Amino acid sequence: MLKSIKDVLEQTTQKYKDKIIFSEMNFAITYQDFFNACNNGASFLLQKNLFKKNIMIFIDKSIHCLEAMFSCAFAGSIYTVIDVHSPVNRIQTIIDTLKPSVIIADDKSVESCQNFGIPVYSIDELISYPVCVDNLEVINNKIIDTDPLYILFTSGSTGIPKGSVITHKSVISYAEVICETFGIDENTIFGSQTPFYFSMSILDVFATIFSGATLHIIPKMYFSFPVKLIEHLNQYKINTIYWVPTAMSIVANFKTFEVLLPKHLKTILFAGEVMPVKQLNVWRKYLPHALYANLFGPTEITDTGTYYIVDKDFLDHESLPIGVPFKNVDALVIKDNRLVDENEVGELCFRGSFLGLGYYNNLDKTSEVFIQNPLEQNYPEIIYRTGDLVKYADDGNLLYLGRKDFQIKHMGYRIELGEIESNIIAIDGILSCACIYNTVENKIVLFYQSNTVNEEALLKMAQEKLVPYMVPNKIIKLDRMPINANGKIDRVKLKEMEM
Amino acid sequence: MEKLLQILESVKPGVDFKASKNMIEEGLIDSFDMISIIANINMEFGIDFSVAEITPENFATVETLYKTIERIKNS
Repeated sequence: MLKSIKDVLEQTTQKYKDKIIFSEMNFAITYQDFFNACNNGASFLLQKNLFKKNIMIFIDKSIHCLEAMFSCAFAGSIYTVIDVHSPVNRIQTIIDTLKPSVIIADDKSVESCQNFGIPVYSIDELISYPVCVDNLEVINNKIIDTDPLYILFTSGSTGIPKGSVITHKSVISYAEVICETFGIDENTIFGSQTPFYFSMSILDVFATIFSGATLHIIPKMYFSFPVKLIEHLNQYKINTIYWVPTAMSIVANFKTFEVLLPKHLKTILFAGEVMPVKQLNVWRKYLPHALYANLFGPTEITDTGTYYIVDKDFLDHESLPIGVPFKNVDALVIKDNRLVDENEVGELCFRGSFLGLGYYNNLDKTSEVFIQNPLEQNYPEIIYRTGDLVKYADDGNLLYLGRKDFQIKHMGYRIELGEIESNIIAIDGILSCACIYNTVENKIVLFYQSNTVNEEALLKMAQEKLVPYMVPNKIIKLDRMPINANGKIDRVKLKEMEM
Repeated sequence: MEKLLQILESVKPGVDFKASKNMIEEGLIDSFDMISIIANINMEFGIDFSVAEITPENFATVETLYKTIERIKNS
Protein backbone atom coordinates (compact mmCIF):
# COMPACT_ATOMS: atom_id res chain seq x y z
CA MET A 1 0.00 0.00 0.00
CA LEU A 2 1.19 3.52 -0.78
CA LYS A 3 0.96 5.37 2.52
CA SER A 4 3.75 7.92 2.17
CA ILE A 5 5.19 10.08 -0.58
CA LYS A 6 8.35 8.02 -0.26
CA ASP A 7 6.39 4.85 -1.06
CA VAL A 8 5.04 6.53 -4.18
CA LEU A 9 8.40 7.75 -5.41
CA GLU A 10 10.07 4.43 -4.60
CA GLN A 11 7.51 2.50 -6.64
CA THR A 12 7.82 4.85 -9.63
CA THR A 13 11.61 4.88 -9.41
CA GLN A 14 11.74 1.09 -9.59
CA LYS A 15 9.84 1.25 -12.87
CA TYR A 16 11.47 4.28 -14.50
CA LYS A 17 14.86 4.58 -12.82
CA ASP A 18 16.80 5.99 -15.80
CA LYS A 19 14.05 8.32 -16.93
CA ILE A 20 14.30 12.07 -16.31
CA ILE A 21 12.09 13.09 -13.39
CA PHE A 22 12.91 16.82 -13.20
CA SER A 23 14.69 19.16 -15.55
CA GLU A 24 15.62 22.84 -15.56
CA MET A 25 17.56 25.10 -17.94
CA ASN A 26 21.00 23.50 -17.62
CA PHE A 27 20.37 20.42 -15.55
CA ALA A 28 18.25 17.29 -15.46
CA ILE A 29 18.07 14.40 -13.01
CA THR A 30 16.83 10.81 -13.32
CA TYR A 31 14.36 9.12 -11.01
CA GLN A 32 17.12 6.98 -9.49
CA ASP A 33 19.55 9.84 -8.89
CA PHE A 34 16.81 12.00 -7.44
CA PHE A 35 15.61 9.22 -5.15
CA ASN A 36 19.16 8.65 -3.92
CA ALA A 37 19.74 12.36 -3.30
CA CYS A 38 16.60 12.51 -1.16
CA ASN A 39 17.75 9.50 0.84
CA ASN A 40 20.99 11.39 1.52
CA GLY A 41 19.06 14.47 2.55
CA ALA A 42 16.67 12.52 4.75
CA SER A 43 19.58 10.74 6.47
CA PHE A 44 20.99 14.15 7.36
CA LEU A 45 17.66 15.33 8.80
CA LEU A 46 17.18 12.13 10.81
CA GLN A 47 20.51 12.53 12.53
CA LYS A 48 19.26 15.95 13.64
CA ASN A 49 16.07 14.35 15.07
CA LEU A 50 13.66 16.22 12.85
CA PHE A 51 10.93 13.57 12.54
CA LYS A 52 7.56 15.39 12.58
CA LYS A 53 9.33 18.73 13.03
CA ASN A 54 8.71 21.79 10.86
CA ILE A 55 11.34 22.70 8.31
CA MET A 56 11.38 25.88 6.27
CA ILE A 57 12.78 25.66 2.75
CA PHE A 58 14.35 28.86 1.53
CA ILE A 59 15.33 27.99 -2.03
CA ASP A 60 14.20 29.52 -5.31
CA LYS A 61 12.24 27.31 -7.71
CA SER A 62 14.75 24.66 -8.80
CA ILE A 63 15.63 20.98 -8.63
CA HIS A 64 17.48 21.79 -5.39
CA CYS A 65 14.19 23.01 -3.92
CA LEU A 66 12.52 19.72 -4.93
CA GLU A 67 15.38 17.77 -3.35
CA ALA A 68 14.81 19.67 -0.11
CA MET A 69 11.04 19.03 -0.23
CA PHE A 70 11.41 15.29 -0.81
CA SER A 71 14.27 14.95 1.71
CA CYS A 72 11.87 16.32 4.33
CA ALA A 73 9.09 14.00 3.14
CA PHE A 74 11.40 10.97 3.34
CA ALA A 75 12.44 11.95 6.88
CA GLY A 76 8.87 12.40 8.07
CA SER A 77 9.49 16.12 8.58
CA ILE A 78 6.91 18.73 7.60
CA TYR A 79 8.16 21.24 5.05
CA THR A 80 7.14 24.77 4.15
CA VAL A 81 8.48 26.30 0.95
CA ILE A 82 8.93 30.05 1.29
CA ASP A 83 8.82 32.68 -1.42
CA VAL A 84 12.44 33.83 -1.19
CA HIS A 85 11.47 37.19 -2.70
CA SER A 86 8.78 38.02 -0.18
CA PRO A 87 9.40 40.87 2.26
CA VAL A 88 11.28 40.00 5.45
CA ASN A 89 8.33 40.92 7.67
CA ARG A 90 6.06 38.47 5.84
CA ILE A 91 8.62 35.72 6.30
CA GLN A 92 8.89 36.70 9.97
CA THR A 93 5.10 36.36 10.52
CA ILE A 94 5.26 32.90 8.94
CA ILE A 95 8.19 31.97 11.21
CA ASP A 96 6.24 33.22 14.23
CA THR A 97 3.34 30.90 13.36
CA LEU A 98 5.37 27.94 12.16
CA LYS A 99 8.31 28.02 14.60
CA PRO A 100 10.44 25.89 12.26
CA SER A 101 13.23 23.81 13.81
CA VAL A 102 15.63 24.38 10.94
CA ILE A 103 15.90 26.16 7.61
CA ILE A 104 17.21 24.53 4.43
CA ALA A 105 18.76 27.08 2.08
CA ASP A 106 20.98 27.12 -0.98
CA ASP A 107 24.38 28.73 -1.38
CA LYS A 108 22.78 32.01 -2.42
CA SER A 109 20.59 32.36 0.64
CA VAL A 110 22.43 30.59 3.49
CA GLU A 111 23.91 33.82 4.75
CA SER A 112 20.74 35.93 4.67
CA CYS A 113 18.85 33.15 6.50
CA GLN A 114 21.22 33.35 9.47
CA ASN A 115 19.37 36.48 10.60
CA PHE A 116 16.25 34.52 11.54
CA GLY A 117 17.99 32.94 14.54
CA ILE A 118 17.21 29.37 13.43
CA PRO A 119 19.83 26.75 12.44
CA VAL A 120 20.43 26.90 8.66
CA TYR A 121 21.74 24.02 6.56
CA SER A 122 22.64 24.11 2.91
CA ILE A 123 20.99 21.71 0.47
CA ASP A 124 24.45 20.69 -0.75
CA GLU A 125 25.29 19.55 2.76
CA LEU A 126 22.08 17.48 2.88
CA ILE A 127 22.40 15.67 -0.42
CA SER A 128 26.04 14.77 0.10
CA TYR A 129 25.40 13.24 3.54
CA PRO A 130 26.03 9.48 3.76
CA VAL A 131 22.89 7.37 3.57
CA CYS A 132 21.79 5.42 6.60
CA VAL A 133 19.45 2.80 5.11
CA ASP A 134 18.26 1.28 8.40
CA ASN A 135 17.16 4.58 9.93
CA LEU A 136 15.36 5.56 6.74
CA GLU A 137 13.37 2.37 6.77
CA VAL A 138 12.43 2.69 10.44
CA ILE A 139 11.19 6.22 9.85
CA ASN A 140 9.24 5.42 6.69
CA ASN A 141 7.50 2.63 8.61
CA LYS A 142 6.55 5.13 11.29
CA ILE A 143 4.88 7.53 8.84
CA ILE A 144 1.13 7.00 8.48
CA ASP A 145 -0.82 8.53 5.62
CA THR A 146 -2.66 11.02 7.83
CA ASP A 147 0.65 12.60 8.90
CA PRO A 148 1.28 16.10 7.52
CA LEU A 149 3.53 16.36 4.48
CA TYR A 150 3.72 20.13 4.15
CA ILE A 151 2.26 23.39 5.35
CA LEU A 152 1.43 25.92 2.68
CA PHE A 153 0.85 29.57 3.53
CA THR A 154 -1.70 31.71 1.73
CA SER A 155 -2.40 35.36 2.29
CA GLY A 156 -5.28 35.75 4.70
CA SER A 157 -7.77 38.53 4.12
CA THR A 158 -6.64 40.03 7.43
CA GLY A 159 -3.06 40.22 6.21
CA ILE A 160 -1.76 37.41 8.45
CA PRO A 161 -0.82 34.36 6.36
CA LYS A 162 -2.65 31.10 7.13
CA GLY A 163 -0.79 27.80 6.91
CA SER A 164 -2.81 24.91 5.46
CA VAL A 165 -1.64 21.55 6.81
CA ILE A 166 -1.80 18.87 4.10
CA THR A 167 -1.23 15.14 4.65
CA HIS A 168 0.53 12.43 2.62
CA LYS A 169 -2.88 10.86 2.08
CA SER A 170 -4.42 13.99 0.53
CA VAL A 171 -1.54 14.45 -1.88
CA ILE A 172 -1.42 10.78 -2.92
CA SER A 173 -5.18 10.72 -3.43
CA TYR A 174 -5.09 13.96 -5.43
CA ALA A 175 -2.18 12.86 -7.64
CA GLU A 176 -3.88 9.56 -8.41
CA VAL A 177 -7.17 11.18 -9.39
CA ILE A 178 -5.43 13.80 -11.55
CA CYS A 179 -3.46 11.15 -13.46
CA GLU A 180 -6.61 9.16 -14.08
CA THR A 181 -8.78 12.12 -15.09
CA PHE A 182 -6.36 13.74 -17.52
CA GLY A 183 -4.41 10.70 -18.71
CA ILE A 184 -1.13 11.77 -17.11
CA ASP A 185 1.42 8.97 -17.64
CA GLU A 186 5.09 8.27 -18.32
CA ASN A 187 4.80 10.08 -21.66
CA THR A 188 3.71 13.31 -20.04
CA ILE A 189 6.15 16.22 -19.97
CA PHE A 190 4.88 19.02 -17.74
CA GLY A 191 5.98 22.61 -18.31
CA SER A 192 5.84 23.93 -14.77
CA GLN A 193 4.88 27.58 -14.33
CA THR A 194 3.60 27.95 -10.76
CA PRO A 195 5.90 28.49 -7.76
CA PHE A 196 6.45 25.62 -5.30
CA TYR A 197 4.97 27.74 -2.49
CA PHE A 198 1.69 27.88 -4.43
CA SER A 199 -0.86 25.03 -4.24
CA MET A 200 -1.16 24.62 -8.00
CA SER A 201 2.37 23.19 -8.08
CA ILE A 202 1.10 20.18 -6.11
CA LEU A 203 -0.60 18.96 -9.27
CA ASP A 204 2.40 18.97 -11.59
CA VAL A 205 4.98 17.83 -9.04
CA PHE A 206 3.04 14.95 -7.51
CA ALA A 207 1.23 13.79 -10.65
CA THR A 208 4.75 13.54 -12.10
CA ILE A 209 6.12 11.27 -9.38
CA PHE A 210 2.91 9.25 -9.33
CA SER A 211 2.95 8.44 -13.04
CA GLY A 212 6.60 8.41 -14.08
CA ALA A 213 6.22 11.66 -16.02
CA THR A 214 8.83 14.40 -16.42
CA LEU A 215 8.49 17.89 -15.00
CA HIS A 216 10.42 20.70 -16.61
CA ILE A 217 10.82 23.96 -14.71
CA ILE A 218 10.28 26.88 -17.09
CA PRO A 219 12.42 29.85 -16.05
CA LYS A 220 10.17 32.65 -14.82
CA MET A 221 11.76 35.14 -17.19
CA TYR A 222 10.31 33.35 -20.21
CA PHE A 223 6.81 34.43 -19.27
CA SER A 224 7.86 37.98 -20.20
CA PHE A 225 8.87 36.88 -23.70
CA PRO A 226 6.04 34.93 -25.29
CA VAL A 227 7.90 33.83 -28.42
CA LYS A 228 10.85 32.61 -26.36
CA LEU A 229 8.38 30.83 -24.12
CA ILE A 230 6.85 28.89 -26.99
CA GLU A 231 10.31 28.08 -28.39
CA HIS A 232 11.18 26.78 -24.95
CA LEU A 233 8.05 24.58 -24.84
CA ASN A 234 9.01 23.16 -28.22
CA GLN A 235 12.64 22.63 -27.27
CA TYR A 236 11.70 20.58 -24.19
CA LYS A 237 8.81 18.85 -26.00
CA ILE A 238 6.35 19.98 -23.34
CA ASN A 239 2.95 18.39 -23.89
CA THR A 240 1.10 19.31 -20.70
CA ILE A 241 0.74 22.59 -18.83
CA TYR A 242 -1.13 23.68 -15.73
CA TRP A 243 -0.81 27.46 -15.64
CA VAL A 244 -2.57 30.44 -14.09
CA PRO A 245 -4.84 32.20 -16.61
CA THR A 246 -2.64 35.31 -16.43
CA ALA A 247 0.26 33.38 -17.96
CA MET A 248 -1.98 32.06 -20.72
CA SER A 249 -3.44 35.52 -21.34
CA ILE A 250 -0.02 37.07 -21.87
CA VAL A 251 0.61 34.63 -24.71
CA ALA A 252 -2.82 35.34 -26.22
CA ASN A 253 -2.71 39.14 -25.79
CA PHE A 254 0.64 39.54 -27.56
CA LYS A 255 -0.65 37.54 -30.57
CA THR A 256 2.19 35.07 -30.10
CA PHE A 257 0.53 32.28 -32.07
CA GLU A 258 0.65 34.35 -35.26
CA VAL A 259 4.42 33.88 -35.08
CA LEU A 260 4.88 30.45 -33.54
CA LEU A 261 2.82 27.52 -32.28
CA PRO A 262 3.59 25.03 -29.49
CA LYS A 263 4.18 21.78 -31.37
CA HIS A 264 3.71 19.17 -28.67
CA LEU A 265 1.08 20.68 -26.39
CA LYS A 266 -1.89 18.34 -25.88
CA THR A 267 -3.23 18.98 -22.40
CA ILE A 268 -3.87 22.50 -21.15
CA LEU A 269 -5.10 22.85 -17.58
CA PHE A 270 -5.65 26.08 -15.71
CA ALA A 271 -6.85 27.28 -12.32
CA GLY A 272 -6.13 29.89 -9.68
CA GLU A 273 -8.38 32.63 -11.01
CA VAL A 274 -11.15 33.06 -13.56
CA MET A 275 -9.96 32.22 -17.07
CA PRO A 276 -11.17 34.96 -19.42
CA VAL A 277 -12.94 33.23 -22.32
CA LYS A 278 -11.72 35.85 -24.78
CA GLN A 279 -8.12 34.75 -24.25
CA LEU A 280 -9.04 31.07 -24.03
CA ASN A 281 -10.71 31.38 -27.44
CA VAL A 282 -7.41 32.58 -28.91
CA TRP A 283 -5.73 29.43 -27.61
CA ARG A 284 -8.54 27.23 -28.90
CA LYS A 285 -8.42 28.85 -32.33
CA TYR A 286 -4.74 28.02 -32.78
CA LEU A 287 -4.66 24.73 -30.88
CA PRO A 288 -8.09 23.29 -31.58
CA HIS A 289 -7.21 19.68 -30.78
CA ALA A 290 -5.79 20.16 -27.30
CA LEU A 291 -7.74 19.22 -24.19
CA TYR A 292 -8.62 22.27 -22.12
CA ALA A 293 -9.83 21.99 -18.54
CA ASN A 294 -10.79 24.55 -15.94
CA LEU A 295 -9.93 23.34 -12.43
CA PHE A 296 -11.32 24.86 -9.29
CA GLY A 297 -10.62 24.67 -5.60
CA PRO A 298 -8.64 26.06 -2.68
CA THR A 299 -5.27 25.29 -1.05
CA GLU A 300 -7.14 23.92 1.98
CA ILE A 301 -8.22 20.85 -0.01
CA THR A 302 -4.71 20.28 -1.47
CA ASP A 303 -5.33 22.02 -4.78
CA THR A 304 -8.62 21.69 -6.63
CA GLY A 305 -11.87 19.76 -6.18
CA THR A 306 -13.82 20.29 -9.39
CA TYR A 307 -12.96 20.35 -13.08
CA TYR A 308 -14.61 21.22 -16.36
CA ILE A 309 -13.31 19.82 -19.63
CA VAL A 310 -14.12 22.46 -22.24
CA ASP A 311 -16.41 20.58 -24.59
CA LYS A 312 -18.26 23.31 -26.48
CA ASP A 313 -17.83 26.83 -27.80
CA PHE A 314 -18.15 29.85 -25.55
CA LEU A 315 -18.68 33.46 -26.57
CA ASP A 316 -16.12 35.97 -25.32
CA HIS A 317 -18.40 37.39 -22.65
CA GLU A 318 -19.57 34.02 -21.31
CA SER A 319 -17.89 32.37 -18.36
CA LEU A 320 -16.62 28.82 -18.08
CA PRO A 321 -18.31 26.44 -15.65
CA ILE A 322 -16.17 25.00 -12.86
CA GLY A 323 -17.67 21.64 -13.71
CA VAL A 324 -18.11 18.59 -11.56
CA PRO A 325 -16.24 17.15 -8.57
CA PHE A 326 -13.28 14.86 -9.21
CA LYS A 327 -13.65 11.19 -8.42
CA ASN A 328 -13.35 10.53 -4.68
CA VAL A 329 -14.37 14.11 -3.75
CA ASP A 330 -17.81 15.36 -2.93
CA ALA A 331 -18.87 18.93 -3.64
CA LEU A 332 -21.86 20.11 -1.64
CA VAL A 333 -23.70 23.34 -2.36
CA ILE A 334 -25.16 24.47 0.92
CA LYS A 335 -27.51 27.24 1.94
CA ASP A 336 -29.00 27.59 5.43
CA ASN A 337 -27.62 24.19 6.45
CA ARG A 338 -29.32 22.33 3.60
CA LEU A 339 -28.51 21.47 -0.01
CA VAL A 340 -29.67 24.09 -2.51
CA ASP A 341 -32.63 23.64 -4.82
CA GLU A 342 -32.49 24.08 -8.56
CA ASN A 343 -31.25 27.55 -9.55
CA GLU A 344 -30.51 28.48 -5.98
CA VAL A 345 -27.15 29.99 -5.05
CA GLY A 346 -25.22 28.39 -2.19
CA GLU A 347 -21.77 28.04 -0.69
CA LEU A 348 -19.47 25.42 -2.20
CA CYS A 349 -18.26 22.90 0.41
CA PHE A 350 -15.98 19.88 0.00
CA ARG A 351 -15.77 16.53 1.70
CA GLY A 352 -13.26 13.74 1.19
CA SER A 353 -9.61 12.71 1.20
CA PHE A 354 -8.28 15.92 -0.38
CA LEU A 355 -9.22 17.90 2.74
CA GLY A 356 -6.30 19.21 4.71
CA LEU A 357 -6.17 19.14 8.50
CA GLY A 358 -6.77 22.87 8.96
CA TYR A 359 -4.62 25.91 9.65
CA TYR A 360 -1.38 25.43 11.56
CA ASN A 361 -1.40 26.90 15.02
CA ASN A 362 -4.79 28.53 14.46
CA LEU A 363 -7.71 26.54 15.87
CA ASP A 364 -10.08 29.53 15.73
CA LYS A 365 -9.71 30.08 11.99
CA THR A 366 -9.77 26.32 11.42
CA SER A 367 -13.07 25.79 13.20
CA GLU A 368 -14.67 28.62 11.21
CA VAL A 369 -14.23 26.83 7.91
CA PHE A 370 -13.57 23.17 8.74
CA ILE A 371 -16.97 22.38 10.18
CA GLN A 372 -19.21 19.46 11.01
CA ASN A 373 -21.22 18.51 7.95
CA PRO A 374 -24.61 20.10 8.69
CA LEU A 375 -26.29 17.30 6.72
CA GLU A 376 -24.85 14.61 8.97
CA GLN A 377 -26.20 14.43 12.50
CA ASN A 378 -25.11 10.95 13.48
CA TYR A 379 -21.33 10.85 13.36
CA PRO A 380 -18.49 13.34 13.12
CA GLU A 381 -17.69 14.36 9.55
CA ILE A 382 -15.69 17.45 8.65
CA ILE A 383 -16.38 19.46 5.52
CA TYR A 384 -14.52 22.51 4.23
CA ARG A 385 -16.46 25.68 3.46
CA THR A 386 -14.80 27.48 0.57
CA GLY A 387 -16.55 30.84 0.87
CA ASP A 388 -17.27 30.57 -2.88
CA LEU A 389 -20.79 31.08 -4.17
CA VAL A 390 -21.93 28.65 -6.84
CA LYS A 391 -25.03 27.23 -8.45
CA TYR A 392 -25.86 24.36 -10.78
CA ALA A 393 -26.36 24.96 -14.50
CA ASP A 394 -29.08 23.01 -16.27
CA ASP A 395 -26.53 20.48 -17.53
CA GLY A 396 -25.37 19.72 -13.96
CA ASN A 397 -22.12 21.67 -14.15
CA LEU A 398 -21.30 23.99 -11.28
CA LEU A 399 -21.06 27.69 -12.06
CA TYR A 400 -18.81 29.97 -10.06
CA LEU A 401 -20.51 33.23 -9.14
CA GLY A 402 -18.02 34.90 -6.87
CA ARG A 403 -16.68 35.06 -3.35
CA LYS A 404 -19.07 35.26 -0.43
CA ASP A 405 -17.03 38.24 0.68
CA PHE A 406 -17.26 39.80 -2.83
CA GLN A 407 -21.02 39.62 -2.79
CA ILE A 408 -22.32 43.05 -2.03
CA LYS A 409 -25.62 44.71 -1.44
CA HIS A 410 -25.94 47.87 -3.46
CA MET A 411 -29.09 49.97 -3.78
CA GLY A 412 -30.95 47.01 -2.30
CA TYR A 413 -29.70 44.60 -4.94
CA ARG A 414 -27.48 41.62 -4.26
CA ILE A 415 -24.57 41.88 -6.70
CA GLU A 416 -21.64 39.64 -7.52
CA LEU A 417 -18.66 41.83 -8.27
CA GLY A 418 -17.35 38.91 -10.35
CA GLU A 419 -20.29 39.25 -12.70
CA ILE A 420 -19.41 42.86 -13.42
CA GLU A 421 -15.78 41.87 -13.97
CA SER A 422 -16.57 39.09 -16.43
CA ASN A 423 -18.62 41.54 -18.51
CA ILE A 424 -15.93 44.21 -18.51
CA ILE A 425 -13.04 41.87 -19.33
CA ALA A 426 -14.91 40.71 -22.44
CA ILE A 427 -14.74 44.23 -23.90
CA ASP A 428 -12.14 44.59 -26.66
CA GLY A 429 -8.95 46.22 -25.47
CA ILE A 430 -9.43 45.54 -21.75
CA LEU A 431 -6.35 43.72 -20.47
CA SER A 432 -7.48 43.15 -16.92
CA CYS A 433 -9.99 44.50 -14.45
CA ALA A 434 -11.20 44.19 -10.86
CA CYS A 435 -14.12 45.59 -8.91
CA ILE A 436 -14.24 46.53 -5.28
CA TYR A 437 -17.03 47.96 -3.20
CA ASN A 438 -16.44 51.15 -1.29
CA THR A 439 -18.58 50.45 1.77
CA VAL A 440 -18.19 53.98 3.13
CA GLU A 441 -19.59 55.79 0.11
CA ASN A 442 -21.62 52.82 -1.21
CA LYS A 443 -19.89 52.88 -4.56
CA ILE A 444 -18.92 50.15 -6.98
CA VAL A 445 -15.39 50.99 -8.07
CA LEU A 446 -13.92 49.43 -11.20
CA PHE A 447 -10.17 49.32 -11.80
CA TYR A 448 -8.89 48.33 -15.22
CA GLN A 449 -5.87 48.19 -17.46
CA SER A 450 -6.01 49.01 -21.15
CA ASN A 451 -4.04 50.87 -23.79
CA THR A 452 -6.93 51.69 -26.05
CA VAL A 453 -10.03 52.27 -23.94
CA ASN A 454 -10.37 55.40 -21.81
CA GLU A 455 -12.59 55.77 -18.75
CA GLU A 456 -15.34 57.62 -20.57
CA ALA A 457 -15.62 55.05 -23.35
CA LEU A 458 -15.57 52.21 -20.89
CA LEU A 459 -18.38 53.74 -18.87
CA LYS A 460 -20.49 53.96 -22.01
CA MET A 461 -19.86 50.31 -22.85
CA ALA A 462 -20.51 49.26 -19.26
CA GLN A 463 -23.88 51.02 -19.41
CA GLU A 464 -24.75 49.06 -22.53
CA LYS A 465 -23.73 45.70 -21.10
CA LEU A 466 -24.81 45.84 -17.48
CA VAL A 467 -28.11 46.32 -15.73
CA PRO A 468 -28.20 49.87 -14.34
CA TYR A 469 -27.61 48.96 -10.68
CA MET A 470 -24.46 47.03 -11.64
CA VAL A 471 -22.81 49.85 -13.58
CA PRO A 472 -19.70 50.97 -11.68
CA ASN A 473 -20.04 54.32 -9.94
CA LYS A 474 -16.40 55.07 -10.41
CA ILE A 475 -13.94 53.86 -13.05
CA ILE A 476 -10.20 54.11 -12.55
CA LYS A 477 -7.65 53.28 -15.23
CA LEU A 478 -4.37 51.91 -13.92
CA ASP A 479 -1.02 51.54 -15.68
CA ARG A 480 -0.56 48.33 -13.79
CA MET A 481 -2.83 46.17 -11.64
CA PRO A 482 -1.36 45.49 -8.21
CA ILE A 483 -0.49 41.80 -7.91
CA ASN A 484 -0.13 39.88 -4.64
CA ALA A 485 2.45 37.26 -3.71
CA ASN A 486 0.42 34.51 -5.38
CA GLY A 487 0.27 36.33 -8.71
CA LYS A 488 -3.39 37.28 -8.35
CA ILE A 489 -4.90 40.75 -8.48
CA ASP A 490 -4.33 42.31 -5.06
CA ARG A 491 -7.80 43.42 -3.98
CA VAL A 492 -6.64 44.50 -0.55
CA LYS A 493 -4.29 46.98 -2.22
CA LEU A 494 -7.08 48.20 -4.52
CA LYS A 495 -9.32 48.78 -1.53
CA GLU A 496 -6.56 50.74 0.18
CA MET A 497 -6.10 52.84 -2.95
CA GLU A 498 -9.79 53.66 -3.02
CA MET A 499 -10.62 54.15 0.64
CA MET B 1 14.85 58.45 -24.36
CA GLU B 2 13.50 60.59 -21.51
CA LYS B 3 9.98 59.56 -22.45
CA LEU B 4 10.97 55.90 -22.31
CA LEU B 5 12.60 56.32 -18.90
CA GLN B 6 9.44 58.00 -17.67
CA ILE B 7 7.37 55.04 -18.84
CA LEU B 8 9.64 52.54 -17.12
CA GLU B 9 9.68 54.55 -13.92
CA SER B 10 5.91 54.95 -13.90
CA VAL B 11 5.52 51.18 -14.11
CA LYS B 12 8.26 50.45 -11.59
CA PRO B 13 8.76 53.51 -9.38
CA GLY B 14 12.03 53.78 -7.52
CA VAL B 15 14.03 51.53 -9.84
CA ASP B 16 17.19 52.96 -11.39
CA PHE B 17 16.78 51.70 -14.96
CA LYS B 18 19.62 53.89 -16.28
CA ALA B 19 22.15 52.12 -14.08
CA SER B 20 21.00 48.65 -15.07
CA LYS B 21 23.32 46.54 -17.22
CA ASN B 22 20.54 44.07 -17.94
CA MET B 23 16.99 44.76 -16.80
CA ILE B 24 15.87 41.17 -17.37
CA GLU B 25 18.74 39.31 -15.75
CA GLU B 26 18.61 41.64 -12.76
CA GLY B 27 14.92 40.85 -12.41
CA LEU B 28 13.81 44.49 -12.67
CA ILE B 29 10.82 43.70 -14.85
CA ASP B 30 8.57 40.65 -14.76
CA SER B 31 5.79 39.47 -17.05
CA PHE B 32 3.18 41.71 -15.44
CA ASP B 33 5.41 44.76 -15.93
CA MET B 34 5.95 43.73 -19.51
CA ILE B 35 2.28 44.10 -20.37
CA SER B 36 2.07 47.62 -19.00
CA ILE B 37 5.44 48.70 -20.41
CA ILE B 38 4.53 47.60 -23.92
CA ALA B 39 1.04 49.06 -23.68
CA ASN B 40 2.54 52.40 -22.65
CA ILE B 41 5.24 52.36 -25.30
CA ASN B 42 2.65 51.65 -27.98
CA MET B 43 0.55 54.55 -26.81
CA GLU B 44 3.30 57.12 -26.16
CA PHE B 45 5.34 56.38 -29.28
CA GLY B 46 2.40 55.56 -31.52
CA ILE B 47 3.84 52.24 -32.59
CA ASP B 48 2.70 48.64 -32.60
CA PHE B 49 5.21 46.47 -30.78
CA SER B 50 4.99 43.08 -32.46
CA VAL B 51 5.51 39.97 -30.37
CA ALA B 52 8.58 39.04 -32.41
CA GLU B 53 10.27 42.21 -31.10
CA ILE B 54 9.63 41.27 -27.47
CA THR B 55 12.97 39.59 -26.83
CA PRO B 56 15.44 39.61 -23.92
CA GLU B 57 17.97 41.27 -26.27
CA ASN B 58 15.68 44.20 -27.08
CA PHE B 59 14.75 44.64 -23.43
CA ALA B 60 18.28 44.30 -22.04
CA THR B 61 18.87 48.00 -21.33
CA VAL B 62 17.14 51.33 -21.76
CA GLU B 63 19.38 51.96 -24.80
CA THR B 64 18.59 48.70 -26.57
CA LEU B 65 14.90 49.20 -25.93
CA TYR B 66 15.05 52.76 -27.24
CA LYS B 67 16.85 51.60 -30.38
CA THR B 68 14.18 48.97 -30.92
CA ILE B 69 11.44 51.57 -30.65
CA GLU B 70 13.21 53.83 -33.15
CA ARG B 71 13.65 50.92 -35.52
CA ILE B 72 9.96 49.95 -35.34
CA LYS B 73 8.98 53.59 -35.82
CA ASN B 74 11.09 53.97 -38.96
CA SER B 75 10.16 50.69 -40.54
